[in-house]
Amino acid sequence: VKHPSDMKRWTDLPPGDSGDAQRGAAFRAAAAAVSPDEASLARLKGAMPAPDHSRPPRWSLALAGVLLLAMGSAVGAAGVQWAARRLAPADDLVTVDAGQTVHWQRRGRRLAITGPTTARISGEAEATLVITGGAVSVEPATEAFTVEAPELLVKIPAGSGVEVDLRAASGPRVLAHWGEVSVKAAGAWFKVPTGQTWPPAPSEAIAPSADPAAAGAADPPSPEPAAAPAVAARAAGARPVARKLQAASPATPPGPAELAPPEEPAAPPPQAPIPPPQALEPPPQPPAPPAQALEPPPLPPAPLPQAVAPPPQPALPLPQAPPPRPPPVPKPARPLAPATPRQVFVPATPRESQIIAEAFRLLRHERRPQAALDLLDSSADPRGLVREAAIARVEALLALDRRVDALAVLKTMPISATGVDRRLLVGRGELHAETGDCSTAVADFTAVINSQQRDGFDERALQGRAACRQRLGQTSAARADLNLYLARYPNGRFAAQSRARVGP
Amino acid sequence: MPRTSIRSAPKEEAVDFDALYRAHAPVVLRWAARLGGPLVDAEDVTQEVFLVAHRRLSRFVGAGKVSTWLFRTTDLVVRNTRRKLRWRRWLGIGPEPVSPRPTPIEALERNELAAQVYGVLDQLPAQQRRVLILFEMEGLSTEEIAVLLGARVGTVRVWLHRARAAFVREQQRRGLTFSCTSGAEGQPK
Repeated sequence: VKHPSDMKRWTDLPPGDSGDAQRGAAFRAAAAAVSPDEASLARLKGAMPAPDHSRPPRWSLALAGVLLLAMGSAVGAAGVQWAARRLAPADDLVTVDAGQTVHWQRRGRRLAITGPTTARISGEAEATLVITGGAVSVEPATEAFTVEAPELLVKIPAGSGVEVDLRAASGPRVLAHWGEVSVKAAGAWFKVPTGQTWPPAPSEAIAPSADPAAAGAADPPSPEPAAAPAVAARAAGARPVARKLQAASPATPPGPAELAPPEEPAAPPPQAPIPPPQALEPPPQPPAPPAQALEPPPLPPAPLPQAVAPPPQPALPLPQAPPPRPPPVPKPARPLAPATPRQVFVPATPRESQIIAEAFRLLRHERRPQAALDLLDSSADPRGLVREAAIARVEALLALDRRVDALAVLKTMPISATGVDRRLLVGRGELHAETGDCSTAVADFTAVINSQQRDGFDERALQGRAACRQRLGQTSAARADLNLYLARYPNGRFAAQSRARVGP
Repeated sequence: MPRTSIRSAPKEEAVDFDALYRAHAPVVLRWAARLGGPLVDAEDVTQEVFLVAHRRLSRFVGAGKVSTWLFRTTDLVVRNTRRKLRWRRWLGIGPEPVSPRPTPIEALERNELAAQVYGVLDQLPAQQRRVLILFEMEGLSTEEIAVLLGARVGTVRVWLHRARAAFVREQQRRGLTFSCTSGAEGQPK
């Protein structure tokens, strides 16, 4: 076999006896045998299908690709979210009704929260409870807990009990039921001992602590207390001014020297801004119109039995024996009710909650106030520290027309000027007015009026304050209240009466 | 013996399917018949080749010579057809039913000499078989074969040299002597 470069084709060789010539002849014969003839080509042309010029719709392929991509992205995003939920620090959002207690536990941390509030609990590296409204009582069992509120940070050691109240218009308030807690406000730390409040009462004095260790907190204080907002003013410097104003006679408005901040404040921070304007009495009015136009009006009736009542609760079966309360961690001995006029309340136990609910059922459904009062006296709240029990007791006493006793109970209660407490505050003011304590009644009415809510309680408070000021001889202030009432409620239920008293 | 003249193939810039079919159908049919041998229906293969060509014509435009592309398509279709035939024989199914019309295959089966040639060619490796058929039957030069197969000329010559040697060995192994008794072999050109 020769190399193709220097050999001829087998089929080019002439016929002969050589092997290559024979193979060439065989290839020629095979090629001729398999060569298609003209008929075969004609058949092929006839059988060839007409070409389909319609191209496959490529847009559908693109759409399918986009859909697949979208589905993949959605599945991937869902997977990422699922993984993030699995891996991220868990948060619990709890909604606690008034008087309800929620026991929360995670990773060895146990907590009892009593509402009303909506709170978010972070149970990871540092347990934190964030509340944005309402009031909450917190009892951390095993480890320290932190409560974050607007403009406030409260460090609660294990075994302590604290109530943080955001309902007051004047700002957040912290009550240390038991145990000593640390409060950080406006960059300064304060230690709140057992039974005391923050901001402290006028008789108390809590000095801000610049040393976080001394305050028992882990976070260092802000190095810039000078930038303190109104919270710092309430905490320190504003209080002496408020006391001065309180001591001053309401008939003689304070002079400019008394309104000015003190020259040398007793406690740091040294800057003491002027207290909020709602704490001040209104400036002296121009000479009042003839006094005979203003007659002391009768006090509006106090519909307290309905006003102070929380929403009705279904009847609960009373257990025969109180279930044991689960306090696995020994707590320091709880102090009894302090001797101060304001009672320090604690969350109700489940047993106490059931008894209080039964008392409300007796009051509102069966109209048996005496039975409710007996039940409260005999069973519920032996410590006298549960706020809901006190409300039920007030309602029962009012139903029995024991107004003085009801007022005595109300005097022990810390009442804010927001939410349900507005009913209590207006009722307490009216009871004060009934007993002739118009100065205290004016304070209660003023708190309600200054809360900037326009409702029936605001109407009653305006009417009550006008009547009390008239009795106190402050005719111009009373006239101002009536005019304010007519401006706010020109068609209110006391509008005609107010116009008659104001005169032409 | 008709030969393929790829120089006369239409250029890629004038690709139109009807013109493509008219220009290349006879060549493709001959390629199919000669590459496929006696057991392959060349007309079916040709139809399949042009269906593929129509489907992929848009991809081909501007990619090379039409004849080269058609030859490779024909070669692929023939190989697939022969592979299916081998599987059918191995499974005992037998060849596909052939249409009743007279085909070149049926004519070839009656030619014992051509059957002997393809019997030997079928024992060669595919590349050598392809090169030998194109060189001896189609009359293409090694340069033209290199263009069709996308190989270098030297490589094609090596394949052709080995194909010839393998053909001679297989012929001798079978003890075949191609004595030209029929007049179908034609004359050398």
